Amino acid sequence: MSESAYEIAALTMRYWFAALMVFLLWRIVRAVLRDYAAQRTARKADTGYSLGMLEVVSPETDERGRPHALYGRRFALKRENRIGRARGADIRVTCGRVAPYQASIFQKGNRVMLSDLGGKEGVLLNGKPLSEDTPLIDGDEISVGNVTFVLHLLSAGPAKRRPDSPRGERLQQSMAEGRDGEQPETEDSWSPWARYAAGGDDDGESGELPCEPDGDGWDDDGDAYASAEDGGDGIEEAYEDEEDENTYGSAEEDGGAYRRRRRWRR
Amino acid sequence: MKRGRTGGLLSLIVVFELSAFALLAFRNGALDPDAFITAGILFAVFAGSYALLTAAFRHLDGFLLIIVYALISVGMVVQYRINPDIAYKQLIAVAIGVAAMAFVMIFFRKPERLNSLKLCAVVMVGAAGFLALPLAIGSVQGGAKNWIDLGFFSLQPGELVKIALIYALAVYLSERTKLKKLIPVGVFVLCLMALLVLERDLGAALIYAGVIAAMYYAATGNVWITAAGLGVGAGAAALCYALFSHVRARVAAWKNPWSSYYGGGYQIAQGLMAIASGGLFGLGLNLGMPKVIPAYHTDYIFAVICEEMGIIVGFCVIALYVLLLIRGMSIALDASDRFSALLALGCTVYIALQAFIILGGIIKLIPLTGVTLPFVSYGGSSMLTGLVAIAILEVVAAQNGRRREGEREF
Repeated sequence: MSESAYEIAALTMRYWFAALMVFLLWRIVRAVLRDYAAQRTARKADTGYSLGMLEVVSPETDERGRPHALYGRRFALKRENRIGRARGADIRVTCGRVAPYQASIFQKGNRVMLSDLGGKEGVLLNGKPLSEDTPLIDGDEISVGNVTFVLHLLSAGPAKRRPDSPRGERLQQSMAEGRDGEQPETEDSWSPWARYAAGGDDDGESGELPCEPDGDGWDDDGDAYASAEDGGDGIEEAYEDEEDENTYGSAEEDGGAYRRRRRWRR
Repeated sequence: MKRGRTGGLLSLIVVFELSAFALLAFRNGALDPDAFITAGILFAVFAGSYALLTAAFRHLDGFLLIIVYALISVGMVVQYRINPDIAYKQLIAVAIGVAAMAFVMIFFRKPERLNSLKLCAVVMVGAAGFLALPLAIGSVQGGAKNWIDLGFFSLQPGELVKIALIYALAVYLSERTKLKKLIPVGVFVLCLMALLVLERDLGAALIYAGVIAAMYYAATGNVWITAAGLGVGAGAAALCYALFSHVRARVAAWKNPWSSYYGGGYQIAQGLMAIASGGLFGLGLNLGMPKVIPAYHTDYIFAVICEEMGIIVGFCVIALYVLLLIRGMSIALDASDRFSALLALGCTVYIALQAFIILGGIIKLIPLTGVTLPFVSYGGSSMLTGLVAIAILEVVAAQNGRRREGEREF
């Protein structure tokens, strides 16, 4: 091909290139927009999904003795929920000492996990600080700051139950007291250790509970502690704090273990 | 959710690439079979990798691949037009880069597994050492001592270390937001910046700073510390302006390239003239004079595209980067965990920022800083790094898709 023929070809082809590139760009933009619309539809469908809910069971009353604003409130759980003080948290808890994002409840596989994001033992699961991500079961109690939630799961949860859940402890308590007959039939098949407890072997956990701090100096740093304990008969006691008259509602119905709840400085 | 189909778009790219190479085959009066061979190999690389990856990943983000392949084809066409020899080298770099991308995507399907402090420590030490290598055995190019010459090809550690930087920041920022706990990664980042300044690789330092600021802000949402960090960065830039004469020359050339036309402003002035002479549709492939622009095949390739193919194609190239940014950000927003989200964000910001820095420099929007145009410029290290970043984005996108489908495999 001679030089002039090439020039004519190149000059013609530049329109072809420009048209092709614009067409390509238009097709990509159109496809991206369609994909975005499809994603939004999928996201909308996703919002109907819920793992279950959290119900606030404590504190029941505020410092003036009136019903607390949060008490009884229920929060629907999404696939991932962050609890904390921050505005971006899915469940905001602003009373007590709470990190901006203190805890996370999320779905992992077919389990529902609890994770402490704050890392300062600010999350209690059934009264115990969380050391690692823990699978949750229906009825678990989760405390953040001075608010306690009870978890209601929609799905069946994991096949294995943890022995330290409130339901387990309740059962243990009642069985130790010889109230076997009050237990529903459905619940006595799942727990080998419940039979162990029913066998009358007193492990020192049920029944006799210390209700005073054991004096190892935990008040040194100025933190105030409230200890809550009840005898398994469902009585809920409120402790007045002398310093700033905060009320602690202890909603622990199980009473199986001595538990102390640390209050976070404001 | 099924991803949108993108196979038709790939055929459009192939049509563009084949017709451009067919035109170039006739440019010297005689038929040049090498052009067809180059086009054929490029087609095979694109189609093969696309078919493999769509088969391996049900939730592949096809748009990212299409956008990247479109940019690579434009770059290959212009490089073949400038000099077939560098096009062959670039073709090898594209093949290696695509292979690396497929490797990363297939062998690192679950990014969470890489989220470990031990691995991160190894990567940080290795990356800092790798970046320090050019100071010992490097060669100087364009005022910067940031190359390692390995004989048959040369390597730019500053490019590959970008991935390590994004990875280390993602590992640390995904779980920690307190400054005290970020000290290890802070030391690492400061080491990298100091090394880059010692090597006079200020363009890379700018990209690193942008990636760090974006990832820190995204992870913590802390406006004040981010603003303070950007302020320190601005102070460091002012210090560089005072310390390095070539930075002062760059700023002077940006203010008025015509006043120093035969000096520092020559490159910018030539680039502007090339873009202006091209007009809307360009002068036609092989009919312009790109070789009068310094760094025509690396940093200034955008000016060559505008000169020979026109501003319309140049606009399409910019729009492709914008689309890449949008897709990358939507992948990062969709990600199920913080680590993946930060990885995706870092990769997106790196590519978009690098493209902005060089495109803005060429059109005299900001002072010119010599970095490559990702996926288009000649340069193996740049191509490899860009494609690995795309692989990371694709891995996160595939994970998002699996999560959305509700598969239980992660």
